[in-house]
Amino acid sequence: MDLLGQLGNGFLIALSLDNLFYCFAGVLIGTLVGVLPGIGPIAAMSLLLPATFAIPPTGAVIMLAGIYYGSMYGGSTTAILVRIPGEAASVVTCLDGHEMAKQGRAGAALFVAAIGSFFAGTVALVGLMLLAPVMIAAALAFGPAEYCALMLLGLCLIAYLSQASVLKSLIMAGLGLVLGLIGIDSINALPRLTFDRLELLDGIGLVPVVMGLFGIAEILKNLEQGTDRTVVTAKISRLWLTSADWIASRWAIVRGTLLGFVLGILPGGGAVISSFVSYALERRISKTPERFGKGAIEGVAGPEAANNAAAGSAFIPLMTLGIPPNAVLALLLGALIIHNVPVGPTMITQRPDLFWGVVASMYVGNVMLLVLNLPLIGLWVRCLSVPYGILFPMILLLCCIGVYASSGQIFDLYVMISFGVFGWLVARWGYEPAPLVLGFVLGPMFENNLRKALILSRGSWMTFIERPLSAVFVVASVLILATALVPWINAKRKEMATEE
Amino acid sequence: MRIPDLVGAAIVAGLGLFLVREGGSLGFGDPTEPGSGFMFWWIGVAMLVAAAALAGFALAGAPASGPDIHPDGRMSLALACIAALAIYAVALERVGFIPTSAVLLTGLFIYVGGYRPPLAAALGIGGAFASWFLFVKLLSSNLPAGLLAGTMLGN
Repeated sequence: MDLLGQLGNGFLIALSLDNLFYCFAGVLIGTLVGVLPGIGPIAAMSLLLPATFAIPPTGAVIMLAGIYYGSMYGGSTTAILVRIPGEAASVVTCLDGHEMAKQGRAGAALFVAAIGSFFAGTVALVGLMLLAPVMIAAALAFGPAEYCALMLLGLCLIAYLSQASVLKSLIMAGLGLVLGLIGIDSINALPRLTFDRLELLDGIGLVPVVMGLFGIAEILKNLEQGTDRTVVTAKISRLWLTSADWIASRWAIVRGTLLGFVLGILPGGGAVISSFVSYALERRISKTPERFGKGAIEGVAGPEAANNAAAGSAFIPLMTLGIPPNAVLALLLGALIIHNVPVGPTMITQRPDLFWGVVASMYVGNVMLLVLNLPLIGLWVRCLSVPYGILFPMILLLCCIGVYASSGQIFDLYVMISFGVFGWLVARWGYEPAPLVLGFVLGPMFENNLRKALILSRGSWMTFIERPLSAVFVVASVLILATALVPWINAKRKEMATEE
Repeated sequence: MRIPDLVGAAIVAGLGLFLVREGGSLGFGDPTEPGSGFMFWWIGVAMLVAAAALAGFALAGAPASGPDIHPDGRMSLALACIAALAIYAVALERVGFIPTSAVLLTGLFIYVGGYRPPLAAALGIGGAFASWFLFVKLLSSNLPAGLLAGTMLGN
């Protein structure tokens, strides 16, 4: 069946009443968590994961995906109006977006963020649709060695691109791998690192780990550091751009879209890094770089387009290779596995309804987001007035409910609290949780493929070098680690990661 | 010299040693047939190398400025939250979702939100009932009934 026919079938699935509801719920919750600082898409997705057990896999993935890309839209609202990024990918939007708001141009900033996000999200979907079959054809050449090497590359890239030190990020990734391997060995059926606890025989649950690291730890950090808000309260009028604004922002949106799309596909890349790179690019090529940080509309348009394009293209490696390029999609992979959906290159052939239904739902979701984020902006601003004294206790309770409801085990609550405290403590000393989550999800797959590759090659480590694709990934991983050790390059990397 | 990184290196080295030992006892196997401890052993070795590098950087680097600690002593809020969550986890199954959640929310509203006890109690009880209704009645989640088992407020 041709591409358009398959997409048409996808729309039939996405436009069914049930899936429309799940899509709307996803983008609505996504926008809300994007707007509210203190709870990000990962925490929201893990909170809702147990609730998706009762719904069909397609609806579940549509809703969870909606939360992800919805949060990218919503994050810009707080960044512009409060100067607090609702989620990490909106950090750079604060710089010029809030300045524009203070100058009475909040409407223009919100509009360009929404329209840039819509354009980028739509382009990313077209790319996903066109590239996915190509990637699947390529994936048929993948054996255990290639999968193993690609996962290694992903872990190295996420460490390299994180704002923390590469070494600390690699340590976190290694810790994640270990935690992911706890439980019964799938090959020898031996219990590993279970310390005679029955609860650990099935391994540590993804939900308590993620809720602890991204939900509880975030709240503890916010409580400790305090969160001061200066909401721009002036009435937001004129949700439209002047012709000068259009001219200034249109190419920034296109550049941000292309950049975000490419970076989103790379393992370890994604929305956060693409928004930073887009901002740096816009400032570098601008004839008046001194305007940046003082309300330059390109500083909002480029990064917002980039983070949404990256959020869309990140689905390509997940849906074609079964490899999540970032922590959020690692959680989505966990959801797919829980729902018994075949992940990897066979997903499109075995579950075309799910793949094309989700792709089509993203088109629908993007339109919903445009409606939610422009005419209803006043509603989101009102959400920001919910006091943290109410919000934080409620989020803590919701985390507890989500974790307990997902397994029915009180042990998981202890795991969540432990990881919350761990995440809070290690963040104080520059360790990031994202590499741990990626390592945690990839751990079992990584080990499985490594052992298979070695068995198939009769114990020869050279199999990773002799196979061309695997060799490319291994060499890229080594280069990344080597460059991280070169002081000049590392200084540049840190400068880029923490710029502005 | 960066003391926190040195402490971190010591912890990572300890973890590395543990993994190497555990990998060996689980069975390293050999490359033609890797055993259950194969990955742990290699990750342990990598952790030891990382710990050495971290210690090296810590010894060579300038002292760290330390974490941002709020001058108002807000750390007590975070610690109180952790304690409240731990008590909540211990009591949840024995006492039940509604009473423990009401107490947790009330305490946090008073301590974190700074609300007066009567208002905090009203908000806490209301929040607990609303959450119970949403998750148990509407979403059919399985939350412990505890002391309320067998009543209309049980599951």
